[in-house]
Amino acid sequence: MNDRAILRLLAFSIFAPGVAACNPAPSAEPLHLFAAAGAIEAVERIARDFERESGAAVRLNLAASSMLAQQIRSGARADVFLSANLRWVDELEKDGLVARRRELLGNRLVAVTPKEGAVDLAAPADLARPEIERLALADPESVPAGIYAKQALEALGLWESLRPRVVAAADVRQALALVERGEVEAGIVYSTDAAIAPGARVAFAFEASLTEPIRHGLALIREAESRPEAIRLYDYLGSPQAASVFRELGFEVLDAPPDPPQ
Amino acid sequence: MTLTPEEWTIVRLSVRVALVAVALAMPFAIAAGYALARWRSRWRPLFDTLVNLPLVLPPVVTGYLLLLLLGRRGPIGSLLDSWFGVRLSLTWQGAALAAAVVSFPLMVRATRVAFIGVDPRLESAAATLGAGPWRTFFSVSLPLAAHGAIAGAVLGFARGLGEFGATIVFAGNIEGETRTLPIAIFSLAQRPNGLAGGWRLVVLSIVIAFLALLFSEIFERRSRRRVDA
Repeated sequence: MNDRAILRLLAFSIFAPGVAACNPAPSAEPLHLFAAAGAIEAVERIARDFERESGAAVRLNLAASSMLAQQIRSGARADVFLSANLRWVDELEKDGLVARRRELLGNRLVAVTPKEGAVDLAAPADLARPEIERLALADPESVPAGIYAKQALEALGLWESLRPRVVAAADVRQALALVERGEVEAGIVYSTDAAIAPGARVAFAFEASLTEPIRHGLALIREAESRPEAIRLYDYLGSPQAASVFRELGFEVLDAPPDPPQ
Repeated sequence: MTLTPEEWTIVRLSVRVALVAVALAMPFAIAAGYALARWRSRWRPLFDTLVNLPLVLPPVVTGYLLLLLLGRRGPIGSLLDSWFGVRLSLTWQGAALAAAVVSFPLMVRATRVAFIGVDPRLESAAATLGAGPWRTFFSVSLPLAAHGAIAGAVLGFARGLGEFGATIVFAGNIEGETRTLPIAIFSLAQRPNGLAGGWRLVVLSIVIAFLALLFSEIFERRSRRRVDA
């Protein structure tokens, strides 16, 4: 193949999908639900339930809430955003990107160790033991689970000494995977993550008072406000049906706020 | 543009990782480049494919395979740990290894082109003058292909500096240990003020990539000129 043929092929592969996208879109544009990595199982189940009930298609984008918030901020098409903390919803709200919001779920922070051959940890101070060479957290500067974990360790006076051992995972599930695979001696994740991880064991739970309240927030994105199905999805995530799924997976479901006067 | 101490740490670490990666991969890249330039066999396409695999394999897959093999519970990783106390996953040495694997095909490509440009008659001449195959290689073939090897090394260095996918899976993101340029930028991009705090690292990455490509192009041009001559 000569250079020109390669170029033509390249051009084709770049533009062909775009041309395809110009065709008349199918009438039912799918909804885009952006959700925190730690809520994967719950959100997948709820989205499938919602699809069955409403007939609308839901596309999931699952990653660290920080990553999702940055994507939404830079114009990604999102209709509903489930963030693992409220701060990222606040950030989007500051940019005028949030139409409605509520506090949806509560969670707890736990320390986990690999199931096999683990160091015995009974209390937070044990994390400072020399056997704990590496501690996996979600990125403590941006990812909610990591931000909470850093707050807890700071409140305990452990942060500065543990900091050099911290592996900053891209999201809470990567931190969990490092623990399950035995790559790190310990990690800090949500209790809901630990519950679904066969290769990890909960060593202890952190006192709730060590961090700001752990709250997963739900936001309806400004541009989705004009789409009735998007509002339906937003409402569905706060419905009793969704609540039972969240509860089954260990989340604390917060009471719905009273409807604001219209 | 002045860098903060944290940024300097990131830059120094990245350079060290990329240099070690090149040093690690270079001998193998030279051997493979020479083999691909000289070896005539029906197995050559297979060998060629294997050598180039890391170039097209998603780096995340490369990292995952490294983790499976060399992780602390992997078949090789657990032996390294128990026999020598050596750990590669989640260490800067691991980051260098990941970068070496991913840069390897690029280095092979450049050295192969250079070896193809070495006239086999010069090698035969050396042999008739009594030089053994090793002596012929080190005193005739390799010096004549040095431009290509350097071009490959520079390209491998640049690719190693940019390595993200395999590195984050195998070596993670540990401040001062495996937080290299791309990983730091990835981390920074997720903070509330976004890349505002990391634009210097972005600029630096572009400058380094540009210079490395330019240098390797210059060296490759020389080695190609030799091929034409």
